[in-house]
Amino acid sequence: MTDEPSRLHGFLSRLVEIKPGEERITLLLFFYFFLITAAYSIIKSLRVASYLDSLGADKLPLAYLLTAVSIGLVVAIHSKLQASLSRLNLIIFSLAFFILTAVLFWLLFSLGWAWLSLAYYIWANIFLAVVITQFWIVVNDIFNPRETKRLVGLFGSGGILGGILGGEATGLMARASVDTRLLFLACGFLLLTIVVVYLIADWQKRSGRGPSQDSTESTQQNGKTERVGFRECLRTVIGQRYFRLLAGGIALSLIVSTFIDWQFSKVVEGTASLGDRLTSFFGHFNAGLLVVAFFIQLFLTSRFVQKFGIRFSFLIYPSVLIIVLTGLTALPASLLMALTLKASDKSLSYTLNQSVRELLYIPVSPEVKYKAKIFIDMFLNRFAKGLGGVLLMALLYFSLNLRFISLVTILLILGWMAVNLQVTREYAAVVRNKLKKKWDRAEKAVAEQLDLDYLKLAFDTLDTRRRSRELLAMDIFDLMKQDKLRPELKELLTSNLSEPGVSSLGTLFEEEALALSEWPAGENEDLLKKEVDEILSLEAYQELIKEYIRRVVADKKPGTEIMRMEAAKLFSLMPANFVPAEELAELLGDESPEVSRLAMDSAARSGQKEHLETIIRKLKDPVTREDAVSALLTFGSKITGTLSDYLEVEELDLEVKKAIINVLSRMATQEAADLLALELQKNQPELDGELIEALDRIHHLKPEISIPAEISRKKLKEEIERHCQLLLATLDSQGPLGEEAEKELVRSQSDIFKLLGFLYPGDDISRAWQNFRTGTKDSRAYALELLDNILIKSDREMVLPLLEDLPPSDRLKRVRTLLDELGKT
Amino acid sequence: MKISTREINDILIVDIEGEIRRSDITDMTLHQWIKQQLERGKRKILLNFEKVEFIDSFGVGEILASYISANNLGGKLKLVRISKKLYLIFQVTMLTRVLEIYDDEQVALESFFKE
Repeated sequence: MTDEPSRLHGFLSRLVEIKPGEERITLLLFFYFFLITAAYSIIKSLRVASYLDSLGADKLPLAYLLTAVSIGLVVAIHSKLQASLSRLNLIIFSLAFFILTAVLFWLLFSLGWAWLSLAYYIWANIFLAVVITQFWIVVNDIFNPRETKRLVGLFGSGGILGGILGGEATGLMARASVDTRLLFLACGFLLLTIVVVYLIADWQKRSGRGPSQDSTESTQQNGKTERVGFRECLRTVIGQRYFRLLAGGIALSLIVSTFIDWQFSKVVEGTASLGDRLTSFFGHFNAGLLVVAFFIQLFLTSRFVQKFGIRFSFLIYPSVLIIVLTGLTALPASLLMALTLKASDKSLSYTLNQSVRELLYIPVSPEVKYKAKIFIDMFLNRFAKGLGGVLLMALLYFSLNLRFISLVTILLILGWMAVNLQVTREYAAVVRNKLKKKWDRAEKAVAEQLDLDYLKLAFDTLDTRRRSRELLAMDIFDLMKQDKLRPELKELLTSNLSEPGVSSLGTLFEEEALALSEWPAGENEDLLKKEVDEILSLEAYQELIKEYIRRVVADKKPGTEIMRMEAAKLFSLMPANFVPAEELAELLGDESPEVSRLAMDSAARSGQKEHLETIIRKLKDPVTREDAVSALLTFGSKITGTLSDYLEVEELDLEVKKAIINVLSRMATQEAADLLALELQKNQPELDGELIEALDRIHHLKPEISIPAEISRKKLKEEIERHCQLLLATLDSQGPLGEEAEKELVRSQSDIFKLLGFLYPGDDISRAWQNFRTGTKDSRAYALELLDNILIKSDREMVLPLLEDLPPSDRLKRVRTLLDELGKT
Repeated sequence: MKISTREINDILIVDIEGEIRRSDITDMTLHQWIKQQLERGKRKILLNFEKVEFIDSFGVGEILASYISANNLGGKLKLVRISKKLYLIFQVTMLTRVLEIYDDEQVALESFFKE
């Protein structure tokens, strides 16, 4: 139940797809990001100005080197603190540290030490690495991938706005080229950040969306002390292919960014037209870029990622760069081209690319995620930029040609795109790992653990003990013949006879208990089987037994049921060609379900197809249905065609048709699957559920059996259309959902997932369904995220709108749109 | 296989000794011997298996053929003291429902008298 959406919600929902209740945390994250980037903008402007003022540009490489070393140290310290402090304390501690050290720098700057600007330079870089990483760690703690996709546009834009306003504030308030008093403004922003962080922690506590147990990073896990530190973080990244790819992609993107910076500067250097207005132009250009980036982030990022998915979104940034660089390579260098390059780089890097990059961390298990994240975001970021510089210098040593560098950049981007493709493929596997498989299809689980035929025979045998010695003997012999008279069953059959309740039935059972222990074993068992078979084939035996059975069948007086049961059972042991069809037909039609059950089994085992019609008729009666199904299964796949012919008969009872479908599914052959798929193709709404269930059963029992994709997809579309109609009916009615309507909706959802299972990896779909159906809010979200990543676009666009957790009004809108689109196609 | 007979009233008690199996066919099979007795007018026959050590399917066939022959001539052929193993086979093949089998000779004889 949701309250009437607030005005704030109404306003925010125009920007991103926000759900009631998410406004507060999204805005808090927006301000968190805004405040730290505003603080950073001020610190950054002082960093460059003071460094150049005191030490000059020549000494910048020294600053790069020391920054890289220091960040390595910070990774080690941060990972240790992360393991011992709660998330809130870690962030507050870090912010307090930066506030105090900022004040200290302000004090020390007044002493005029030249080398202080070097320390400040390194400190500013550490500040950036720590606070930004911590911000994204908090996002990881709070949101699942679905929520992040929807909301990153909004809270991510806070960072860009902070950059704009921080920069502008610096410009407006600076009274000198190096105005260290601005540090107090940065400290003010950081103090406000502490307040926001507390409010976020409070929200997390109230909503139960705090950092998971693992993410408090207790040093004690399973009694072992968890290893932390730089090496451990490095080992985590190297140890997992997903992190290696992620790190590789990020490193390549940063190297490319370094190359693009150089190419941009090179073109601008050669452009004389701007002259003295160069500084002012770039000031405006950079400010304009940030404004563009802000709008891209706010209005496009979430929509784009939601619509096109992670893979496509992650390829956009490098693809645009390739296009612009190709232009730069092919056309004469111009300022317009350089500006386009820089604008593409900065506007997409801080928005779409950064958002997708952060999304990729979210499904990773917290035990490793945060170690990898601090290594990649803090250390690798710096290292890759440095590496980019070194590579650029090496290339420039050989050639200063702009076109040459552009070509190299294109090659690097192609490599980066390949890595991005790989990492987004792995992403689906990471999401899959988040979804626990909760159950297996009953048939599969039972089939793997139990021998159903054995159980049936065993139960029949136990049951027949109270009926007659002959039936019991025949059942035991049957078990023996099928090599199923296991010692435990033999013991059970013997031991239970001595129970007080049973022994009181008379001496018959006591004798039987004795007789059971007399049953031969080993080689003697084989001899017995051989002898019985030989006797059953004897001419004299046939003559005698046929006469006896004729009498038994004709005699339907009360109390003669057992005799007919014995006769029916005996036929199952006789050689097929000796089973008298006429008597068997009589027994099949017997009023007693027990007689009829045994007769059906005998008919099936002797393979007499002339009795098929009688058996199929018995599918109608619920009392005899399951036995008829068993008998038809005993006939085996040779009757597949006959069963399919019966399905064609229009006037055949619906229950019989459903039972035939059940039989075909339990046969689990390719031929049965093909026939069922053909039936599914026909317009038979009353049988669709059974047909889909049957194909799903086959698919689970034998994944190697294929189900025609075109039929599955056509049916998927139809089922989605039906689901939409059901949703519309329930949504339009406004009132609470009736029990029957709810069941119908769940059935329809289940059918949609089953049909998806025929088109995509069954295990993935099954995991998604189980978690969607019975999981927590997060596991439902991960289920949808998995579908989002494995379904092709057209399927994704049909399925996800039905499954997303939406307020009724939004759902109604989506369902109507979907129905319109389905109608058009 | 050795056969000896006793007669109580008009009931022929056939005491069989040894094995009744295909590989051990003597000059005359059990069925042929019974047919001979039937031809001599014997109509009530009790086969005593107390000293029979082994019967194979061939032996069972001989018993069944003898039973049919006796029946066809309006006679009665009954069995007494068969082994547990044979009884088990008769149960599995439902011959216990067709043949009259007794544990005790006296009871078997009385069953003839009652008829």
